[in-house]
Amino acid sequence: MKTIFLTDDSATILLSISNILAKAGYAVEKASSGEEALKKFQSGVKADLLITDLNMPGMNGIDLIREVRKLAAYKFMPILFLTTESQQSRKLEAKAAGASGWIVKPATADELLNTIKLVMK
Amino acid sequence: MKTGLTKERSRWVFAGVAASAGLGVYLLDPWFVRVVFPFFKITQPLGDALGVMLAISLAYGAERLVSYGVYHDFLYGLMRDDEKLASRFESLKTVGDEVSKELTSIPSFNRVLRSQIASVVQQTEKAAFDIAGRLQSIDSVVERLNAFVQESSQSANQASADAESTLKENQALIERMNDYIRERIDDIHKDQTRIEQIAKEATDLASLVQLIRNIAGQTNLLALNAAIEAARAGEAGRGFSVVADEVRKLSSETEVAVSKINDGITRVARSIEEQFQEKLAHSRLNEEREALTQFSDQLQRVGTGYQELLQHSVEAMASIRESSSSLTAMFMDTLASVQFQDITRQQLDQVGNALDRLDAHAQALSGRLLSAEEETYQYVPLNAHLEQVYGSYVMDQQRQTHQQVLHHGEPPADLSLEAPSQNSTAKAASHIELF
Repeated sequence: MKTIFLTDDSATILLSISNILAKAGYAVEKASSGEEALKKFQSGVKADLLITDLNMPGMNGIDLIREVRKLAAYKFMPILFLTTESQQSRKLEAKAAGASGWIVKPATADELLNTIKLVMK
Repeated sequence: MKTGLTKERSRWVFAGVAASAGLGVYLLDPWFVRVVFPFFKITQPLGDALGVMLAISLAYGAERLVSYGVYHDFLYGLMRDDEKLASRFESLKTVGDEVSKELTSIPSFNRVLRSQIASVVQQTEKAAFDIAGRLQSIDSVVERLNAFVQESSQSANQASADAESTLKENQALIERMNDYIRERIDDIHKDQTRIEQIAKEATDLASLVQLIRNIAGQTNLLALNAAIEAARAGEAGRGFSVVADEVRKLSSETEVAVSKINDGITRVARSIEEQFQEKLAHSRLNEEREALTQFSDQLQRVGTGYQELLQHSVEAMASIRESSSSLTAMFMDTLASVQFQDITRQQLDQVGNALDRLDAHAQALSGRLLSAEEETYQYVPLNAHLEQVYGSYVMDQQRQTHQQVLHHGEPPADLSLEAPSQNSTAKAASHIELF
């Protein structure tokens, strides 16, 4: 079973998206901040995909993936942003930091799951 | 502007008064010379000098009167203006103080607004979290329903197969019973044929009895002739006469025996027919066959009904399974739509930041009002704040709303929070991007 790591400062997003992922047959790991997520990655959590929010208090999504990419185990792990932001400059920044894709909230369950399948191929 | 108007008015007053003075001197001068000079015993040029002084005094008085009456006196007007300006300055100062005081109250007002917004964010977050939790509970129920339907569906399928098998077994059993009845009817028909044959053969024995009877009659006739011939032969024929007499007796006994045999055969034949009819009467095969046919039909109907019921059950289970799948899809989409809360929260956070800027701006304006004489006083204009607010937006919808309001004076018509895919494919394509 594939494991998806979900990071968002909104408890509602964590609950709803993790339910969707679990329903689709994925194991889910969660973190409610960039710092918490990074700690888990540094401790070697199993993850086949990272989905993160962009704007979070403290460490934002781009800073998080920059740090995660430095860890050898997650160098090639696909990373998706799930955020309200849609500015092109932020997308380019995320792409440069190592992101694999960008989904603007709100996304339907189908859109989310189809995009996950595409990046995990 | 006001000064020019006042000068023009003064010129018009002067012209009017001068014209009136000239006209007065022109019309009254003969009367003045003729009546006033003699009355006061004065002569020219003293009288003319007095007249000019009187005319100028009257003209000056008239000019002041007209100025005051029609346009107000210039100085008087200046005084009044000065009083008004002073009063207005006082009013403005009072208003300035009031506005400054009010401006300093804006942060308190905004604190209330921010608290309300924070409360809305908190409540919507809690509500959205509860909705997600309840959806999870609903999904658990649907999962249990699915398991039950799956199990019931398997049981229904098994029961349907069992019913079909039982129905076939019942049909085979009825078929065997039908065969048995058919065999029994055949047997009866065969028995009937055999009995009829026996009865016919028994009846046919009657002709043999008649033949024996004829033979006995001829034997009796022969014995009678023999007795006649024996009597004619006399003594020599005595022994023959005894034989002939015995033959005749034998013939008579034969006749009796034949009659008895005939009666016995007739009784036997009748008895066989009677017993066969009684056997037929007791067998009631047709009734049995009819009852069996009815039973078979009933069993068939029950089996078919049961099969239809099971089929209906299987279809109902399939329909429930389909509905359950739809429910699962709806559950996933509803869960996804809870994202609205995060979007709303971020938008309201931005509104809170804008209110902070408005607080600072109100304080700056209040200070400006209180330091009206301070020419070097500086503050950030509201437009600059607005640009900074625009720069801090995190989503396109905020930027669109901002631009729309600034350029058209109203927010965009479509502020829907629905996922783009539910609006248009083009929009859906634009909100997902793979690098």
